[in-house]
Formats: sequence, structure tokens, C-alpha cells
Amino acid sequence: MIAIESLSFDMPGAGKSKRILNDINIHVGRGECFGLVGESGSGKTSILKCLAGQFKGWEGGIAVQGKSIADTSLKERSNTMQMVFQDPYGALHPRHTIRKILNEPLAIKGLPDKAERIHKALKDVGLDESFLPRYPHQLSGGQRQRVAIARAIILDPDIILLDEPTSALDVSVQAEILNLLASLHHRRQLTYLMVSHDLGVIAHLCERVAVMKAGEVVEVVAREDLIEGNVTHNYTQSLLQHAFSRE
Amino acid sequence: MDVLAIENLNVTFRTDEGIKHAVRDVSFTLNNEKLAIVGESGSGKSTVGKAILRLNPPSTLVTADALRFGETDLLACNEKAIRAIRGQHISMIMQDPKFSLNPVMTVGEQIAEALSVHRRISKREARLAALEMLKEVSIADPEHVYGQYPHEISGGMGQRIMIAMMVIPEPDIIIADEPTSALDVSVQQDVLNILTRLIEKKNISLIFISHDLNLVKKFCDHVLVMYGGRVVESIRADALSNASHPYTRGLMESLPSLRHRRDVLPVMTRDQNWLTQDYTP
Repeated sequence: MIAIESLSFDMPGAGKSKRILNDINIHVGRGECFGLVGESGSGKTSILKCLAGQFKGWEGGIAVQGKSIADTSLKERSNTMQMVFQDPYGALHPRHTIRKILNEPLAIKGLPDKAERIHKALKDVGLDESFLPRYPHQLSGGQRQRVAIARAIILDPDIILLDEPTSALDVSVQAEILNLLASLHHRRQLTYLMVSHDLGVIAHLCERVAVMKAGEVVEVVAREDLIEGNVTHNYTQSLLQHAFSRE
Repeated sequence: MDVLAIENLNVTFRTDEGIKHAVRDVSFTLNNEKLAIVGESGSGKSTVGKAILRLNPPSTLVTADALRFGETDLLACNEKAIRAIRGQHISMIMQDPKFSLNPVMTVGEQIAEALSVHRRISKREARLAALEMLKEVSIADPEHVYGQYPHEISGGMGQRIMIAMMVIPEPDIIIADEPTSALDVSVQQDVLNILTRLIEKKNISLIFISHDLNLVKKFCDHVLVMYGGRVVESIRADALSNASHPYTRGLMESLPSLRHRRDVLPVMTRDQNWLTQDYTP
């Protein structure tokens, strides 16, 4: 579904550029839930940004459904890929109602049956139509993240890029959103590429995880191996140790 | 004598939407220990911390039957008296060093200033003390770091600088408000270790405000769990796994676990009674 091959990216800076992704190789299968874990600055979000078209000028190959994304327009790409961001407070337009927020992707694509699609997306994320006339500031953090997820699924994408979707939420709300993501994954046969710094969250949702450090993937581990501590790289071991010692 | 004694603390904010009762009848005493205040956003945990030092906005109304620091009645203190307590006797570490440090002053000068504000010492003495303090918070090259500006250092280092600033006047109490939530897990541990070492060495009591139950279970001695402005449970940290209040239990269970993975995480149903029922130990 997603094939990333020897992806490298240099962040242009004043005078000199800095390499933030180095020779990344990741293959995500259809319907898979794949995680990227690492500490701040390890480059995990940068991979999502390359996929989403926010970073340009990367080297290597990224193919989605067998087609190189260098050859697809942003508009075309948005039909197959959507993104959910970390901060539900910053991701929704503060002066747009929920109706307008959900209507916008439909209007851009010129799709028919808007009201019906909005209704279905809201229902899928566990909200009802009473939310439509409201503004984001009238919603709780968890409800906002639900709206952001509804906006992501309203175009029926195959892939959702999740950038720390629960790290700005309280633990009780995090549990609700993780449950929602798991059930959507199942019901809509979505493919997830999820970034998180929290191994517990990653292992809860993802079948495989790429561990990142300083712009490189040091190891790709299956969930079972992660839980049993079957990891080879020192860095993964130390991350695991920290995660286990906190439980 | 308790280091800090609070009885029936109430805090209300005046907002555009009317009066908001943020803290209701919170009572606790602090001795030479590490006390955690845990809760989710909006539970009032930070407001309690700020109320002790009178750091809430001026429109805030703080009342209590008692708010005593040692023998001092904090409610009766005027602004000048409170200022003498802040920093010197009770100090506060905030969540994000990026916003708490002065961006146009070197970090070393900021540590030295924290000392010279409270003591009559020469510039040179303050500088030497600050360098010594940098060493104490495990900074490898104090001379170099002394002259650096906040934007030149990492988050973990920034938080160590904050700790150095707060510890250098040797206060009796440190209130740490989510001091490690902005940090990576590996750095978190280092910062907590440094904080523990220093407060034990200098006999400082700690109020640790956090949303992270797993963290306080390991790090603190006693835990107050807050919900809707109230303390719903007061429990020894090592007994947290056997907590009795459904809210505390719900918080513990809703965390995804590596060891015991569940397909569906338990979701909490909140009881209206939690907001009104008095906590009975």
C-alpha cells in the first residue's frame, strides 16, 4: 500500500542544510496498522510530511498503491490519503462551524450528497448532528479530535496518517480515541501509518513498528516481539526498558 | 509541625461566562515528603499549586480555613510578605522551560540572579554558586553552559536549569507543575533523578503536580487524586494499584499497557456523585 524506498530529506537552512531523514525503507501492507516510534527530532513526523506533500525536495521513492507520489497531484493524493494531527485545538479552524469544517473537503472535490456524507462521518466517530452548528471552542479536546477524524474519513480515503493523535489528550479520552481508531480501522479497512512517542499507544494499535533515531530507522519490530522484548537494537531495548519501568 | 497545612481551600475565577468554582474544599498537609497532585485537565491541580503562592490572576478569589506555611499564615500575608516567600521559601517549577526562562539572559545569569535576589552576596559569589549548582544538576561543562541562552539548549537541559534556579536559594518547598511532561521519556528519568537527589540532599519538601499516574506511582510518597476541583482520593503511592475510588481506578485502567494488551480499552463512565460526594478516607 505504501512503499518508501531509500527516502532521504535535507531540511534547507540558512547557508547549510541539515539531513533529517536518511535512507528510510518502509513497506506498509493494505489494511495494516504501522507505527513510527522515536524521540523528538528523530524524524518520525517528517516521514508523514513527505507523504502528505508538506515537505518537497526529498530524494528516493515513495509509492502509494503502486504509484509514485511524485507523479500524483496533491488533489489526487488527498483522495487516498488523509491526515490527523496531534493538536485538535490547532487543527480545526476556530471560526468555522463543524458543518463548514466537514463540508469543505466535499466542496473542494465537488461531491454530491453532502448532508448524507456528513451525517455518516459524524455517526462513524460517535457524534451526532447536534454538533453541526457548533464552533470548535465549544467542544472538548476529545470531541475535537473526533471531528478531525471525521474530516479525515469523509472522503473515504484508504490511508490515514496519524501524527500523535492522542498525546494532547487526557488518558481517559485517549482510551476513547484509541478505541475509535481501532474500530474504524476494522470497519473501513483502513491502512494506518501512526506516529507516537509512546510505545504503549503504538503497541496497542499497531501490528508493526519502525523504531527511529536521528533520522534513521534502526529496527522494524512486530508487536508480539516488542511485547516479549525480542528486539535486537540497543536503542529499542532502552526505549522498551523505559516503557516497561513506567508500568 | 507540618511544613504546609491547607484546610478547605476554595478557588473561584470570575470569567465572562460567570463564576467558575475551580477548587472545592481541598485539604492536605505536607511534611518532608514527595506529595503528588494528580488529575486530568481542568481538575484544578495546577490552581491549587498556584493558590499556595498566590500566582493565580488578580481576579481570582482564594479562601481557606487555613493556609499555613510553617507558622506563617499565607492568607494574611501582604504582597511584600508573599514576595519574600516566593523563591526563597517556596518555589515553583513550570512545565515548559522554553516559556519560563528569560530568552534574552544567559541561563547562568538567571541562576545567579535567583540567588542574589534573596541574599546579599557579590556578583562573583553568585556566579561561583551558580556554576556549582550547574554541576549539581549534572551539566558536564558548567563554564560553557553558563554563557548560553535558553534557545541554545535542549528541553531536558532547560528543565535542569529550571531546577538549578529553584533549588539554589534552598527553599523549604518546591512546587513542580508537570516538570517533565514536555520531555522525552529517557530525559524524563534523568531530570527526575536529579530532582530527587537535590531535594533529599537539601531537605526540601515537594509538591509534584502531574497527570501521569504511572510516573507518580514510582516517584512520589503520597498521592492526592483530583476530579472536578475536589480531592476524590488520598492514598499512599505504593498503594495506588489498590485504589478504591472508581475515578482513580478508571484512570489506571484506561492506560494502554505493553504487558497486558487489551483489544478494547476500558472507557470511564463518570458519576455525577463524584462532584458532590465528600471524600472519606
